[in-house]
Amino acid sequence: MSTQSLTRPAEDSPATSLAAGGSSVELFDVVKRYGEATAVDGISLTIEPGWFVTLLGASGSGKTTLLRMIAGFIDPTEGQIRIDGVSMHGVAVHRRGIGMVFQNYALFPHLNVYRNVEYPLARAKVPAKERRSRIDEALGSVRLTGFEKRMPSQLSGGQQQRVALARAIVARPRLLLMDEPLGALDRNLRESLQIEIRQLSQRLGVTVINVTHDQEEALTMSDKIALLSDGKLVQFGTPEELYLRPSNEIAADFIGESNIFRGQARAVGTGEVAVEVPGGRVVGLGAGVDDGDACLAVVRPGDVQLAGAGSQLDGVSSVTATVTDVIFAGESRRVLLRGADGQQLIARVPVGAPFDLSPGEEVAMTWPTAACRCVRTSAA
Amino acid sequence: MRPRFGVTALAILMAVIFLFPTIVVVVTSFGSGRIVSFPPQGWSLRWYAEVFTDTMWVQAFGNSFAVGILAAALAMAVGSALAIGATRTKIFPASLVTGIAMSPVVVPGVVLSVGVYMVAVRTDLTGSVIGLALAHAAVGVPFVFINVLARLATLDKQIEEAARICGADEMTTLRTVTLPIVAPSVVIGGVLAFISSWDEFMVASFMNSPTFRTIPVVVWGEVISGADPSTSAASTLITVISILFLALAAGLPRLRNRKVAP
Amino acid sequence: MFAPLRPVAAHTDRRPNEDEVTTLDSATVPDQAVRSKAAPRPAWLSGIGAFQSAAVLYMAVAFLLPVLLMTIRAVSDPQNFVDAFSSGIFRRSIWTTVRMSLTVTVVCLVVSYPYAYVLARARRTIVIILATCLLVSFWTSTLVRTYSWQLLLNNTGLINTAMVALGIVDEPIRMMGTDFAVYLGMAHVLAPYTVLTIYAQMRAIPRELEEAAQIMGSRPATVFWRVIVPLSRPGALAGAVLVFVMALGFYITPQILGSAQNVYIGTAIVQQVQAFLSTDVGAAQAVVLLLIVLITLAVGGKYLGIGRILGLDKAGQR
Repeated sequence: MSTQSLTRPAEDSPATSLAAGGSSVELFDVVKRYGEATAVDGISLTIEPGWFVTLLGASGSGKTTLLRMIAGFIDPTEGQIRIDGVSMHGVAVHRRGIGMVFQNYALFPHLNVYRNVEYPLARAKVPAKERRSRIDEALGSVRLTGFEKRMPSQLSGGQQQRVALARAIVARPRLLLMDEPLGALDRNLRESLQIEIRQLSQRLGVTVINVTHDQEEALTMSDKIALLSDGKLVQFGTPEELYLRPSNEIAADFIGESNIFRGQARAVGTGEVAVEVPGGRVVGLGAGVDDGDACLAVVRPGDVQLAGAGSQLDGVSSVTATVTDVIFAGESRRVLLRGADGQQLIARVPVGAPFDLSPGEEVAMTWPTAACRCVRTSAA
Repeated sequence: MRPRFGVTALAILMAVIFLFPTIVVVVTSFGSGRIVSFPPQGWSLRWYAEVFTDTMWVQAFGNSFAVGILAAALAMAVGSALAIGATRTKIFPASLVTGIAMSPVVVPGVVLSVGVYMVAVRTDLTGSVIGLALAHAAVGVPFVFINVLARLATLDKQIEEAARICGADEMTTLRTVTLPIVAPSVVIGGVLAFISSWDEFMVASFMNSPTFRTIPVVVWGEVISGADPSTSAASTLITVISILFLALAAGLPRLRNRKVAP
Repeated sequence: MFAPLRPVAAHTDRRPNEDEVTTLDSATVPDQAVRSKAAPRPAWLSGIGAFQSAAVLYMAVAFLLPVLLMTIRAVSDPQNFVDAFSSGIFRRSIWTTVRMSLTVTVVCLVVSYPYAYVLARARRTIVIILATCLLVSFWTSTLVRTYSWQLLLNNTGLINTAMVALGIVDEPIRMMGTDFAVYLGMAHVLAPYTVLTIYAQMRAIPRELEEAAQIMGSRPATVFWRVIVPLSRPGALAGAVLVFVMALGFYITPQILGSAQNVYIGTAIVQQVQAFLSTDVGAAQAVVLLLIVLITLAVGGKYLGIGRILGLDKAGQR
């Protein structure tokens, strides 16, 4: 079961009656404190109808707390949450009309697959004759037709998760919350389910808020990523924006591997910034940086080019570093380097490219100016 | 490391000693003589016939059954309400609820008996099924409480949250999710509560009246005044019924699983 | 509990009502005013809280109240305690009860260790035999088992008959009405509790520990004394406290099997209430017994944890 293809082209599927459109979700300065500890520290966010938004962050970043506040399991200490413009203050969980997929699936162990999926319909008092077709459709959309009589304990993890998904969408919610829905599954299954969930949510037009600590999952599935750290919103943007233009060190660090240089802005041109760093000079794109500002420059390992002593590179940036290790990693080589001030740097060189570096060798690192982003380090 | 032969032999000897008194009672109940003797001189079922026809025994069995069933039903309701409350609400501190639920384990039967007797005499509850069942239910509560609490401890809280998000209010969640899941534990606790009432002598002896006696009270009277083999027959019936109920309760979860399998 | 702010009618897609959406000004941030108008019912009266309140009330009325009223009644007149302690039977019964309960507890521990060990480590067939015997005995009522011991220990009972027949003794030895009979009958009832607590603790000891000790050259007896016993000690002590406390409250076994001289507190109390009809003095004596039990539990709970003693930590293992 777990090896078969779970995806099917969206074109194949009939115009689904499960579609109900999506809700908008707005957070205004939402704060959650537990005694002295602040789990969520003033987060504001606007989520448009139909968006697939991922709350991304390490454990303890407040992402799960935020999701549980949107669901209504916990109340914000301060601030307001609105769904479709309506304040959720004082609205009980069961009246919010939200679908949710839980980390451990949370299927009702005493009910078979059919009864599990029927549960939200029974609570909404959907007429009995209508239930059958809607359950069929929901189970069909997660490719579990024929599993109606199985008990949850007789299903694999992936199957249980798809039952949970069917149960979450069968009542046609306009907002679907997912709490690390794929965390307990193995890698292959996770990847195919990512695509499946993404396609299903697009077909339904539902707004999805997904919580994960897996940046790859966030990049694959989301329209927008909200990166959280220490209860604060670090950056909210498309996966491309977060990957290519991290707004600060936390974002650069969390999304993918990166080289981070620190220094002072020296020359500022139109949209370009040159930063003086230990061991050389970094040139990258940057706006709002003034001459003399403390600055942070971020370069992805895949953009770095390396040249041994003597050979010349054409990039305007140039930072000297010492090769410490070369690791063969399938499609590329990961070259670990030590910068002038001892910091760890990484370059990723395609396997096909000529390569003759060995540990101990001194090299020059450079990159296309467009691949580097310079950010002013704020007062913090 | 397997225990050595000597230790195993010692344990088996002790096992025989554990079982022996039960066997003696069962065997003497099938004796034919007027005097209880082990091994019996001859074999017969006459003492069972006597127990089933003597109104003293029949009434006592009826009383014990009525008290036990009522007490077990009450204990199931009260014990599971306390266990669910202790883990699902914060109205009373969980330690307080646990203390209240477990207090019958701590208070000796003699002490409770005197207390219940002093209250029952004034409220005219002595000599009644209701009066004794009310007290026995409290004594049975810890059995239900412990079993339901253990089940709830392993129950993923997300399952109840899933019900809430599916549109169920607190009571609907309780009725359609929590209770069905803990039901087998409630039943097992209920069976243990029934047996504790079924076997209970101390409170029952304080609450008895000439017209209302439970089985243990009657057996006690016989043992004190010199038993005949009908006492063995009644004792055997007490034991068999206890163990039968237990076996049913122990088989219950397996039975449930078999029912739901395809 | 929350009352609904947004009346989501029973329509199936549960969308918010559009008029309500528009009445809310999206510029105003935290909007505490948008609350339910109806005063919510107090927590202890609604939902699960109501059930719990009823259950707590039940226990208070059916269990705690009788014990409390009895205590108040006894304490309200100090003369009750003067009378209680003026009875020589009662004074002696306290010492008898504590002394005999301690002995029974030690007997239970000694018996339970090998039994629990074999139960935890032996072959399947032996485990089934041991478990079946233990549980059938456990679920045979104390009264029935005491009755059986009475049959067995009589001068004309099986044990004496057999001993005379085998020539071990010339004439029947008196066992009924002795402390020995009480120890035997009580240990028989209480040992299963220590067996089960010790067994549970032994099951938690990884077999690798024993194997490691053996590989390092320990003899089996050394492994038992140096590995098994220390690691199972908390369970054994918790079981011992439970058994001691239960022994303190015994009535049936010492009354039927014991001597008229060594009377238990339970017997003294019942005598006061049922024979002398002085309920208040009996109540005072019951308060004394309850105090002894509670002090024991408090001390035991301090070192071992009350949850462990009452089996709450491993709830449902029975």
